[in-house]
Order: sequence, then structure tokens, then C-alpha cells
Amino acid sequence: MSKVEIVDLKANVLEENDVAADKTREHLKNSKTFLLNLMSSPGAGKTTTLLSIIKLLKDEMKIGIMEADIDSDVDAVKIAETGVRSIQLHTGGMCHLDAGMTEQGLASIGMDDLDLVVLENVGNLVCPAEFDTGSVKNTMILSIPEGDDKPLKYPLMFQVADAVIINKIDVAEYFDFDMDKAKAAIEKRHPGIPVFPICAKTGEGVEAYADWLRKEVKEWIG
Amino acid sequence: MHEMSYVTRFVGLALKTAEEKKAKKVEKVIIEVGDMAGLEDYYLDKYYKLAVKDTVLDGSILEIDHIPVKAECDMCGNIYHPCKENNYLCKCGAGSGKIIEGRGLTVRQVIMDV
Repeated sequence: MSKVEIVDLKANVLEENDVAADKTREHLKNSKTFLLNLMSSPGAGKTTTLLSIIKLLKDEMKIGIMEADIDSDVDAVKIAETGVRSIQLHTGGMCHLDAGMTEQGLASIGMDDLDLVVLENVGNLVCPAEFDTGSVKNTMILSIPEGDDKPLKYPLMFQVADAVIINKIDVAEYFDFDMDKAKAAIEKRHPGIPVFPICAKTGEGVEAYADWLRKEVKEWIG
Repeated sequence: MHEMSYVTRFVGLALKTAEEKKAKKVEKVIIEVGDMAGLEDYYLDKYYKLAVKDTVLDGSILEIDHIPVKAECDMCGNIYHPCKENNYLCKCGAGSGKIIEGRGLTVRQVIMDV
């Protein structure tokens, strides 16, 4: 005779991911490697920004890049041309990376001798914000053509970010992008967060962001 | 948008429970979905049916309860429901708060025949 049993689980689905992410951070700490999770919408300039950051930092630290993409490898090819170690992570249709996938990526890039690993997340402002990848810090890139109202539309992305880059300032005059309004909206969602207006293409403003990153890396790896 | 990724996770949790209890059949799985989780019932249900195929959960009902978003204001400590009506702001005018409820997905109960 079978009986009905009601099991109270109260199990949070993201908890398992959070636990895995904390473990990743522990691995990173032990191997003295800093992991930066770079997020933005498609076309905001993640790869171009990365190229300009690599240019400034590659002589002072060992850098590795993990390019997440649904299926292509166009970004990884561009990064490989700079000479830094890079791998391509294919999410196979998934719209974000989670801690498990990131840990696999770190194992395959061989993080032990790297000081800085940058994870270029899938271009998307929604899902990547939900899942902790195990990164030490998160940076999100907002670009001028996207508009100054993005922080209001995607609040979580701005809450999980530790720094915001505003890219493509060279084209500001062609768009109705109000820098003060954007900064105020970001400040509202995440008080005290540093904001770096840059032009990744020309390198304008990138040094200020590189300084922030340099300081964060030093603090982590000691 | 990312329903499948949540579904595979919570189905995994429910399956583990069913196996531990040596369930013959699972009647119902009750989940709590936060209004800020960005998960649509239609897709949760659709993917659930695919994810449980040929498992002990096959044929079970997925019940979805919605949990409103609750935030604790960083400035005054007030607990409030950020929504369109209050422009997602606390009554003190601050817009930054810690989300304390309504973000994730929780498996509340698994009802099974043992």
C-alpha cells in the first residue's frame, strides 16, 4: 500500500551555483589569480575594450581571456592576435555562464600562472546578472547608442556590477545620451560605484579604468 | 529567457529528493518563483514536461507560486515592495536596497507516493 508523502524542501535553486562560485573564488585566491567578469549587451564593445585594456596591462601582468559565445569564435581569434592566452567557451545556446562553466574554463585555460583572467560573458543584460560566475569583480559596459536609461531598465545588472564603463563617447554627439542622467541613474541603482567614460577604439579614458583594475588585482593577489 | 537553466536545476533537486525517499511516483512539485526572477510560467511548464520525461517525475504537476519582490532600503531600513507605482523607490526616496525576497526560484514541496 503506497502512501503520500509531502517533503518540504525549501531549496533555493541558485544556492548550488552560489556555493560553486564561492569555491571558484577560493581556488582563484589560492592560485593568486584575479577573475574579472565582463558583461554588456551585444555590440557594446566588450572585445574592443578588452583589446585596449590588454595593451595597457600585458607588460605588467600575465593575462588570460575566456571568450564566451553561443557558438562562434570570432572574438577569441581577435584576442589571440594580441599574444595573450585565450580560449573560447561555447555555451551551446545558453544565454549566460554559470559557476560550473566558468570553473571548467579556468581549468582549461590553466589559471595557475595567470595574474588576471577576464571572462567575456555572453552579450546580454538580463541572465548574466542572475548567475554568480565565481568572479572576484564584475564590470559592465554600457555604450552610448544604447541610451542613458539602461540602468533603469536593467537594475540588477547595475547592482551586481562593481564598476561601469560607458563606451563609445566619441559618438556622443550623434545620440541623445545624457551623461549626467546616465551617471545619476547608475548612482541610484548602485551608490558609490565607479563609472568610467571611455572610447575603446581610440583608448581615451581607458587608463583610468586600467588603474581601477590594477588596484583590484593587486589587492586580490597580494 | 533562462527558464531551461532553472528547470534543469530544480528538477535535479526534486529528483534527488524523490530518489532519497524511494518514491514510486511524484504527484506534484511546488515551486516559488520570485517576480524579479524573470521566469515565465508558460516556459517553466513547457520545459518541465521535457525535463522530467522518463523519470519518476514524469506525469507530475508543476505548481507555481509567485513571490512579490521585497527590498530593504539601504538608507532607512524600511522594507518595501519596489514596483512601477512607487517608481521602484523606497518612501524615503532612496532607490538602493537589498532585495530580500522575490529574486530566485525555490522548490517548496515535493508530493510523492512512497
